[in-house]
Amino acid sequence: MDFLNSYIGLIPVTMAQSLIYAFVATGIMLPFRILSFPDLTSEGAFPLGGCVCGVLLSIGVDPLLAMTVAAMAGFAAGCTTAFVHLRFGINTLLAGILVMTMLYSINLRIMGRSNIALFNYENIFSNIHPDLNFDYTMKIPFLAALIGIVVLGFFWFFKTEKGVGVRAVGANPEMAEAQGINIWTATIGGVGIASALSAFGGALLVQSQGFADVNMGFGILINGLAALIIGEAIIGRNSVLRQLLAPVVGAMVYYQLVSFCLALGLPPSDLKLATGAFVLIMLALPTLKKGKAGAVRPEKLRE
Amino acid sequence: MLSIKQLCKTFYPGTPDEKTALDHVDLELDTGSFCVVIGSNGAGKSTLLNAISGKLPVDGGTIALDGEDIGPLPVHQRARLLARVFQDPMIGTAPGMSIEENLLLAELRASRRSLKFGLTAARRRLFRDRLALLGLGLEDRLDARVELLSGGQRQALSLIMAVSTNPRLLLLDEHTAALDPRTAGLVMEATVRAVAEFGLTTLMVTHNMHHAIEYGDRLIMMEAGRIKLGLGAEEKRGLTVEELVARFQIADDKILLSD
Ligand SMILES: Nc1ncnc2c1ncn2[C@@H]1O[C@H](COP(=O)(O)OP(=O)(O)OP(=O)(O)O)[C@@H](O)[C@H]1O
Ligand SMILES: [Mg+2]
Repeated sequence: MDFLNSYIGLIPVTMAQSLIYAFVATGIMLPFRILSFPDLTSEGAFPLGGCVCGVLLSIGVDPLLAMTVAAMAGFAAGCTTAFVHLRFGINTLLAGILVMTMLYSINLRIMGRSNIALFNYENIFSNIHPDLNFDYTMKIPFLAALIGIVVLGFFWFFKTEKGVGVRAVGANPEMAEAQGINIWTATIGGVGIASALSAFGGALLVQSQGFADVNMGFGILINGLAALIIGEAIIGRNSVLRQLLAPVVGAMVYYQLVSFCLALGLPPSDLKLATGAFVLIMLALPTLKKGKAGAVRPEKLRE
Repeated sequence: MLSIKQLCKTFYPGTPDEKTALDHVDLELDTGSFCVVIGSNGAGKSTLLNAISGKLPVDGGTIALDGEDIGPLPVHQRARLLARVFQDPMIGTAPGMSIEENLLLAELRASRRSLKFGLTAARRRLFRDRLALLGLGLEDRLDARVELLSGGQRQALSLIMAVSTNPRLLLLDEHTAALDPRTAGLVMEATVRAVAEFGLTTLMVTHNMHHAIEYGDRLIMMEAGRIKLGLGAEEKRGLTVEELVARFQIADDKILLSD
């Protein structure tokens, strides 16, 4: 029962961590589900946010401002991906890979080295309360409130006249255009906001863990996708609210699962294989159920 | 008033596949006029409508609506002035969204979308009344997803979406062709009613000769990218399918056989 004790001991830490990753999972969900724009930019935007925030904190910039700049940098990255797709007709996934790859070099340039320790600088947690970062009875509600605001914000937005228009762009671009909606604005803005969320998650994480690292994005996309799929399996995606809650709930469940598997003795190096296999099975399930694997396209996505 | 001058469109120019779809087309359509367009397959009817809606960039010529040159405007800006119903019921609606959300999208076609709550109680009442006119029972399913509707129901919804904002020009491209005869009749009736009620300037493409005779106050035929012949309201009255075929020397079996 040793493993159980070590797992239980880690529950609060994992929970706080998963609430931070919920930002990234939401940033993955928005383009993928709402805009039908499968996007890989998060893998670069997440460390971008971390690096920008880390560097700014290390030169004494106010944490709130540092996080705002980090989110804006993520926004620019997402806009770039969307623009590359729209302007040059490059497949959305490839556009995302291009931007993400270029971001790796940019992130290194921004930091000037591969990691920065941030223990000795002010951060958003210590700014609010000296113990906020280490007292999980405060940290978890704080992070939950942050992601809650994001979910509520989107829930409100998608009910507005503008928001319904944005959803139409994902549901049927040709129809949306014929109804007077500017597809470029909606797509560029939407993918931009999504990447801003990922970058914001990165900025939160570096402050929570006390260091920024250019490699911190490695595998974040597949983790976020796994979280999203778990969340959708649990609460569905039949309404806007469910679709918005799915990545948050999914992230919380997914990281507990991971922590549990690690406590059980799964070598961390096998984690990516396990996660990848899990996502693959979940994505393949609908086609397998129909009995004609590969013959049907489960998702209608933009080319 | 729609005024088209010397509109040209050639696909794959300078290649062996070169195809002139619009050959210096001139067309004047008075406000409130309901013009039916016929012509054999590949005559350029859809190309003409796509050029007007902005879907297809043209090689030359001008398109003006009520004196405003709409040629330079992208599709989403022309949508402020014109509405269209496509032949394929799947194109005209957003499948994953509800009936009322689809109607809301159309409702705001001509206006700026604000950050105000979209589906207000007043709007939902309005949508319910509009759908009730169709007699398909859609008014009781406002929150149902459009993907659950049949092709005919979706097309009827597309039509309501197109006409209800009182566009300055309505483009219909064989919008009943994919439907069974009963639903086609229903959608056609709803079309005529709306066009008359709002006095919409309409351009309707059809392969159905009976529809071509029965509806509209003007009839034009396209052939090889040109408007070959036109009939006004006077000449249209009392026209029979046989006369029409003889008049236009229609050599298209598909048209002759259609009912
Ligand atoms: N996107 C396109 N690319 C290349 N050629 C095209 C394209 N669209 C139309 N054409 C060609 O232009 C010509 C006119 O086509 P159009 O679709 O306007 O005909 P139509 O009158 O609508 O015919 P139908 O009655 O079959 O719908 C045809 O020869 C067609 O092959
Ligand atoms: Mg056609």
